[in-house]
Formats: sequence, C-alpha cells, structure tokens
Amino acid sequence: MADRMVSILDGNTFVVSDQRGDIEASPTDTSGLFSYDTRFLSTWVLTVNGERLNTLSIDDLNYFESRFFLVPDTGTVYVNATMSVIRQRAVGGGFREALTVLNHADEPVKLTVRIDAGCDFADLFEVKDAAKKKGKYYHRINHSSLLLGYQRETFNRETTISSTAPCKYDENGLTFELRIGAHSEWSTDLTVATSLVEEISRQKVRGKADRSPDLAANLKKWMARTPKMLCDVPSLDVTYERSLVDLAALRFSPRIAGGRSLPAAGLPWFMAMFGRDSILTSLQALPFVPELAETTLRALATWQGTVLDDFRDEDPGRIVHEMRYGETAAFEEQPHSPYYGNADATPLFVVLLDEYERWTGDSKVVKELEPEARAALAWIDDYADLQGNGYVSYKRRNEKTGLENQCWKDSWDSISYRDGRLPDFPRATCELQGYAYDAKMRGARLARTFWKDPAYADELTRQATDLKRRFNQDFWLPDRQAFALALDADGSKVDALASNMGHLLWSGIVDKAKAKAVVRHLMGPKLFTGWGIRTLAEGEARFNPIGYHVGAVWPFDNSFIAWGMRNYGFKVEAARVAAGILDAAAFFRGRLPEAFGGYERSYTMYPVEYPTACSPQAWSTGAPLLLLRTMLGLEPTEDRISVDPVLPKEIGHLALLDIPGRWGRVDVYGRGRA
Amino acid sequence: MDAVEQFFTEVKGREYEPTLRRISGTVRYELTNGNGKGSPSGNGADTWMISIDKGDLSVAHRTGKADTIVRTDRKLFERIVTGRAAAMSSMLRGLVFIEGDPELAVLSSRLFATTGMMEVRNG
Repeated sequence: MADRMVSILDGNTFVVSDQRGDIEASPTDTSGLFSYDTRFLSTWVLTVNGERLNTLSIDDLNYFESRFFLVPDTGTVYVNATMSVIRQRAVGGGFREALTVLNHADEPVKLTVRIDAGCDFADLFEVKDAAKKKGKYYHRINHSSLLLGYQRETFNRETTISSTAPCKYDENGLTFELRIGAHSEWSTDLTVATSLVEEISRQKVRGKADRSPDLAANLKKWMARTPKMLCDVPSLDVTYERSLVDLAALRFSPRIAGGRSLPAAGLPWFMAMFGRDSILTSLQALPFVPELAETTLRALATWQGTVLDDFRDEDPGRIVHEMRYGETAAFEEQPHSPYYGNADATPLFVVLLDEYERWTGDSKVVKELEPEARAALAWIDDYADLQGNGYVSYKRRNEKTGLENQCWKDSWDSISYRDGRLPDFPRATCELQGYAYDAKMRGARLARTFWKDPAYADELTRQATDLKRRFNQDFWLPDRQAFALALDADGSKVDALASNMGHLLWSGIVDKAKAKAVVRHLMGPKLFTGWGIRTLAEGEARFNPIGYHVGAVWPFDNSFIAWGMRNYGFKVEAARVAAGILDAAAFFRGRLPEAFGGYERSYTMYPVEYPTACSPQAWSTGAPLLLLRTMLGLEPTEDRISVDPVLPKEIGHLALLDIPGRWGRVDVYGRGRA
Repeated sequence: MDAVEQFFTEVKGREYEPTLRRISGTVRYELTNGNGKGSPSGNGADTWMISIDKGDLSVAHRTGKADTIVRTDRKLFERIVTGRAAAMSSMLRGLVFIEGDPELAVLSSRLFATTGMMEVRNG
C-alpha cells in the first residue's frame, strides 16, 4: 500500500495521496496533508458526475510537486474516454492544486465536478493508534472559502480551502457545475492553506534564507553548488545524484534558523529536527554541502537544555533529541517540546563543531558557540555519568513516554548478551564512550586554538587520555578479542558482537594494538555479509538477518565504520565496505534504504530491503557521500586538503570536482586498485 | 514582590549572561491579566523590557521598541519562570504569543533557568 502512495513535500509540510491524487484517510491511515506534525486535510476526493476517476499516469515532477492524469471509467478498454482531468499539485504553506478538465468530444458537455474535503486534525503521533480527539470541530463557509477548524481549549488549528473559479462551498467540500465547450477545457486553482504558527505568533527571522520560495529554482541552485562527480560506473553517478536530490528534499528550516536549513531525519514522518540524525547527516555531507552543518550546529545550540526536566529528560547542556509541534506535544501527552532523551547527540555536537571548522575554516561559529560547546562537554561528566564510574550511560527519567534506548540502536532488543539476555539500566553502550572521547579530544583542540584556554585544553586532553586507557581495559573481552557492546547496570560486560565496535574506530578510542582484532571481527563472516556489516553478528542468540538492530545492515552505520577503518590505516577494508554498500545502492536505484537484510551476499544475490515507513532516510542518503570521502581519503590538513585514494577496482576512474572547504574549491582524482 | 517582579529583578542584578553573548536584541514581555491571548501592545498589560547586548543585560519596567514580543498571561508567566510550566508547549497551545525574532525568544528563555528560581522544571 505505502509504496503505491504518492508523496510530495517541502520541509515539514507534506501530502500523501493515492495514485489518483485522492486522500481518504481513516484514523489509522497515514495519508493526508500534514504540516507541523498535524494533519490539516484527511479527505480530498475528486469526482466527476459522482464517479471516481482512473489514473492514466503520474508525473513525479519533483519532490515538491506531482501531476496526475485521470480519465473517467468507461467500463472497457474498447471505449475511449472523451474527457480527461489533470491535477497538478505543489506543496507550499499547505498545497496548491491546478485542476483542469478537458472535453475531447465534438460537442459541449455538462458536468458536476465535486471535491469532498474534510479534516480530522490528527496529531502525527495519534495517526497510528487512532486516538479519540479531545477537542471540537467546526467549520465556516462564505462565498469564497471553506474553513475547517479544530479547537481544544486554547489550541486551535485551521484549514482554509478556496478556488479561483466560482463554486458552491458546503461543509463537506466544493461543487462546480460546468458546461465545457467542444474541444475546450476548464480549469481552476485550488488552495489549501494551513494555519498554525501564523495564528499563534507573527515571526520575523534573522539573517538571510538559503532557500528561495521558488522551489524549482532553489533545487537547481542547490545542484549547481555541489561538487560534480565523474566516474566510470553509471550506477555510482545515479547514486550520487539521487543522494544530492534527496538531501535537498530532506532540508528542514526550524523557525529559529532564519530560513536556513538543516537535514531532517527522514521523509515524510521524520521531517523534524533530530539531534542525532541531523548531526550525523551533516557530518556525512560536510565535504559536499558544509552549510547544513552550520545550521545544525546553530539550531541545536539554541535549543540546548538549560534545566533538569524529568518529563523531557532534559539536563543543562544536553542536546535535543526530537522537536515536534503537534497537539500531543502542546498538551504534554508526548514530551517532544523538545525532548532530550538521547545519550549521543551531546558529544556528537562537539565532534561536528570541530569537524566543521577543520573543513571550512569558519572560526566565527566555533567562537560564537563556545558556551554551548563547553556546556555540552560539561554534560558528559556532570549529567551523563549516571553510575559515577566515569562512563556515559543512559536511563530515562520519563518512564511513561520517554525513550528507553537512548543510543542510535533504539529498539528494545538491540543491546544484548551473547545468550540473548538484556542488560538493565543505566546502560553504557560502547560507542557512547567513543563519542565522549572524541568530543573531549576535539574540544581540547578548540579550546587551545580558538577559545584561548590552554588550561581547559590540557584538562580535556588529560580526561580523554584517561578515558581511553580505562575503556580499553574495562570494555575489552580478552576471550573474544573484542570490545563489549555495553556495560550492564551492575558493571558486567555485555558480550555480544555488534557493529558498535566499528564506531569506536571512527572515534579513535581504540588502542592501536587492538584495532586489528576489531577490524578482523567487522570484516569476518559473522559480521560482514559482502554488502555490509551487520548490526549484530551471526551466531549471537538474538541474531536475525531481518531484525532491525539485531542483524540488518544499516548503510549509515557502515559509512562511519569505513571512515573509522580508514583512520586506523585499514584502507583496503574500508574500500571493501564502501564497495559493498555502493553495490547495494545500485539495486535501490541509488536510494539506499534505512536498512536492508543481513543475509550473506552470495545467498540472496541482491540486498533484501527492510520494510520501513520512511524513505529517504537522511543518514542513508548521506552514506554514499561519506563513503566517497572515505574512499578518496579526503582529510583537511591545515589549510589544504590531503587526498589518498584507495578505491575498489570496479570503480575505475573517479573525479570529484569543486570540493568546497577552507582551501576554496579543489578537484580530486582517484583510480580503483583495491 | 511576586515571582514576576523577582524574575526581572534577578535578571537586572545579573548584568551579564555568558550564554547569551552571541546575541543582541530586545525582548518585550507583555503580561496580561485574563485569557492569556494578550491585549494589544501596552494596553493594560504589565510590560517589561530585557535588552541583551552580546550578553550584557538591562531591564526596564516600561514599554518600548523590541525585536521580540512575548505576550502571555501574567499567572502563566509566573509559572514559566518558576518551572511549573514550559514555554514551548504553552506556545503550541496558544497560551504564549510570540512576535518578531523566534531565535531571540528561545535564547532569552535561558534567563528563566539562570535566575536560580527554577533549577528543575515540573510542567
């Protein structure tokens, strides 16, 4: 069902309809016009003389507009329809729809065109569990529009529907009584406008927007600004172009960001600011579109936690997990206003800040965000060390609606012992310690170079060194020659083999002497499928090749692991991971899913897509970009870029032109040998 | 002195707030008595101004030009500055009205936490 639906979107406003362009949402169905996490239209059904239409074709013109060609049902293929209907729809402050009816007959025709319209004003979080609404619905009709509204106490949301051509409005829609001449056409422009923020505030934004309201011109400009890739493998071209277009679609402008954009987590259900997803995607895209990182940093800094708030799992210095604007957030039935329950975005915020400066040389941002970066670093020691053992761990304080698992593998069974037992909370997963180490090391560089605080830099370096030393003892499993997945609440080592180990390489917390053993696990048959590295190793009790975090392969996970292997000198292994994931991308026409099955490559011959509601997913979209950086061995070194390509043989020649950075723009070339 | 006056007095006493040093601008708080939807500027509202100049703070109990206007019921504002209500959910419910620059609105709300009147939020 879901893949036969048509979606278009701009930021957090999106329309999901069937192939006719109709919306017939039930309380549990996810079609409709959504904006700011609220459904603003749940019924939008077109009929001509009381009959539904059939689809001839759909043009997905762009991610923000589509065109539906429709004809009446003649009952048989032997009778030509003498009429056709075109609906061209574009998102923007709701949506606009140009409706055209063409009469192909030799004589005039009289028609009744009707659009049924209605709205349940469901919160995105209510859609799937069909919660009963607590407020009241109302409508207002006048000669030029139909207004649908919802009121719960002072909470108010409205949808206004209007047409340029004359029509009759009633509480359930619009009716056009038409007479169309022979070989003539009739058309109208329909506008569906949503009100939320404009109703409760009139806001002016600072700075200059990075996107013009003309979405088509904007996409063209975006594509022109990004580096050009030339290569011998056509499927890689497709993947690269797909990633850039999808990344454009995933841009989201929080209201505080002055019209500038950051990557939202996924389309369409996760078009919101997510600390972890926005940071990791910004990191992946840094060599291609560095401005996403700047907006991510500024927006997350602005929303940094200030107080202890159990309901929101907020602490001073903590970086946002998720921000939502719907009714459940408004009435505190969900904690997303904003919610802070994650244990990784805060150290990763510092990692991104440092990496951003290394690429762009933009020291202004590093200086401006010094208080937030210091607060984030302080959070690691003051609020994240729940056990007092010097490690970051997590345990939610909001036990009703908070998130139980506050690392990226956020499903209930993702962290387990070999025998399948689940550890208790607080849980200290290993990758969190790596992020904390990296944040401290990078924080030290920032303190020394930009904040003119060498004493603080020394202190951070000392803490990081100590953390690395302790970690390599406390998390090491001598029998398995691997790092434990986590420390249990009682301090026991959670001993399942998992991809989390790969993130440790990226963070640099692994002792050089242990790196080889880690890579051997990651590239061994229990974890590496030939397409990529599984989230959990085959042979562990909870392993399941189609288990979300217990066996499936996540492209984003692999992109960071490959980067980590590179950093430890395992260039050929990194290239093998990159080659596997990019081969898989070709099967998905360049759009990598969030995850795919962890079956052995020789067993299925093609990557088995994991069924998810959300595509494209931001960090899957970013994965090919980071893999390109990794294969080319791109590293900012003072004021220049260093290049050390190790490419899989199949890739042949690869050129990346106009890579932006502190060096201006440069071209790099590589040739496959590995 | 009620919690609202205490809040502005505390802010006035602080003079400098390092976490606001990247921003400059003036916020006008229009605190109304009644339904929370606010009344037109200066019309019967208790109006306070906080000016931020790269972290330097000044407070005035009067009306004037501002980059951001925060309009809400006085009782609700009291609950917000003492941590018994949250600003963002209140805004989404239509109980806090924000006009002007939203970034300044969010950043200036850091002052709620730094006055020491709210170490925890329970609402």
